[in-house]
Parts: sequence; structure tokens; C-alpha cells
Amino acid sequence: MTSASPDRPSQRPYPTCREVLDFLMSYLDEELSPDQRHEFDRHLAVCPSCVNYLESYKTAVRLGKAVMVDPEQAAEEVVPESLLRAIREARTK
Amino acid sequence: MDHSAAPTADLLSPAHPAHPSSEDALAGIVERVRAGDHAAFDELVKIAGGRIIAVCRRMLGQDEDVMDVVQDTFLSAFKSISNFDGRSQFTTWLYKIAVNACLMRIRTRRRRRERSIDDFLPTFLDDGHQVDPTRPWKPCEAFGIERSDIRAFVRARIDELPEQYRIVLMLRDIEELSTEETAEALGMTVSGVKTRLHRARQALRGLMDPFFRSEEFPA
Repeated sequence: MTSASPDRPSQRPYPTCREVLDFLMSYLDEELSPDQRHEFDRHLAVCPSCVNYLESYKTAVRLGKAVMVDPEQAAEEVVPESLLRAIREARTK
Repeated sequence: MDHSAAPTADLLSPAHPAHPSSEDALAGIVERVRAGDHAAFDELVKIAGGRIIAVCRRMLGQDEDVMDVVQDTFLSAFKSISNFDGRSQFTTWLYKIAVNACLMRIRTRRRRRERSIDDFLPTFLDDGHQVDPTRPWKPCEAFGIERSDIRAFVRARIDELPEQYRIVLMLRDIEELSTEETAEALGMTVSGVKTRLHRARQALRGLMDPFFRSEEFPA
């Protein structure tokens, strides 16, 4: 992946897997320049390992979110009266 | 290899965004408290308390003293409310206090053994290739994230993250604070938060990888 692309010999070499994975979040957040993004896309087009990494990275984030938003916690919109009372008593001491 | 679609637009959109109306209501209550109407503080706790309880539970896990930390958070807020200058949203300011209260609590816990974050990050050859090519994961739809064993498994992997990485992951990906808000809450730079978040996500991926690889995932 470090050799120049045969069809675009004048361009820079492909970014390496290390470069792609180090800047993956910037890629996903669309913070890369168009040129950098193009280079990333060229790499991903020929590197199934990095594509697998990208997909599993996204899945890891999605799973983390999904499991931490607990329905029991979501139901806890009402602050317990005991807590309200404890705060009230503590601040009026 | 459909990697061209904008990947995070849906993935990272807020699942529980801040409620502008709540923020407006809080701003009014904060002004009343600052003006001496201390009883109004009860209303403030009722409106903001649920989210603060949730963030403390998530940051502290099964810690039995979660409610004590929530109480400490609001007492600190009450005592220092005159310092709230309104430049940030009140909930952001309150989050910072809650995060600090949680961090103080975490520091007093018996320190658990933590592995280095490097243990969970990808490794590379000298030429920049991955040492071990990444294999695809079984699709989420195939196992269902509603399964209690899957949820417990993922939670346990999050708990395994080194604390400073877990906290950033919690604030950015779970609590959905912005990078700037997270940086403010933790006293970090924006670029520092981005770097730490990326490593935390990579580490979480690495921790889950052996179990979610297609051929190894338990039925």
C-alpha cells in the first residue's frame, strides 16, 4: 500500500494503514481536506483490512452508545424525593 | 466495500440532545437563585437532576455512593452559583461540577489495575501495514444488541478502558457533549480530547474484536 498508484504515477503514494487508522476519526468526522479524503478513499478501495477496521470501529461506537443508554436510567427522569430533601437540608444548614 | 457514505452523520447524531426549553427554564431559575430566592433551587434540581444522576451512574457504574456524588454536585453548584457567568449553558457548567465530583470519587476508590491503552490499539509493521489484518465483524443485526449478555459484555469492555479514556468516551459518545464542552469539563485542549477519544474508541474496538469476529462469535 505504500507504492505509487499505477494509474496516477505522479501522485503521492497511498497513505499507509497506520496513517489511515490514526486519522480515521478525522475521516469519519469529515475533517480532512478533499485531497486527504481522496487519498484515504484510494487506500480503502484496495485495503479490505482497513475497511473492516472502519466498519468495526463504527460498530463499537454504536454498541457503546446503545448499551449505556439503559431504559431503566431513561425512566429515571424524576429526582427522588429523598435526594431533594437531602440537598435542601444540606444547603440550609 | 461501501465506505464512501458519510459514516458518522447518523452514527454520532445526538440520541438525547440538550433541550433548549429546559435550558431556558434553567436560566430563569438560576437568575432567581442568584437573586436570593434559594427555594427556587429545588426546581433547578428537579429539572437538571435526572441527567446528573444518569451521568454519575454511567461514570461511577455500580458505585453505591452515586446519590452522595449527585448531592455533592448540587451543593457545590449552589455554593458557587454566583460564579456562573452565563457564557456557557448552565447544564454544561453543572456537568463540569458533576464530572469533577465523579472524578474525585473515582480517585478515592481503591485503584484497580489498568492495562496500557497500547494493549488495545492496532499494531503496525515498519512499512505501515497492520500486523494482523482486521477481520470483519458479525453484523449487529445478527446477534441483537437487546440481548442482555451482549449488553453486559459491551459494558464490561467499556469498564476495562483505562479511566482517563473511559471518561472521555463517556462524555463524548454517551453523554454527547461536544468536543469543546468535554475539553472544558476536563480541563483539556480540544485536540487532546480528539486524540484521547479516538484512542478510546480504538481500544473499545480492540477489546471487543476477539468476540465479534464473525467466525468466533458465540451463538
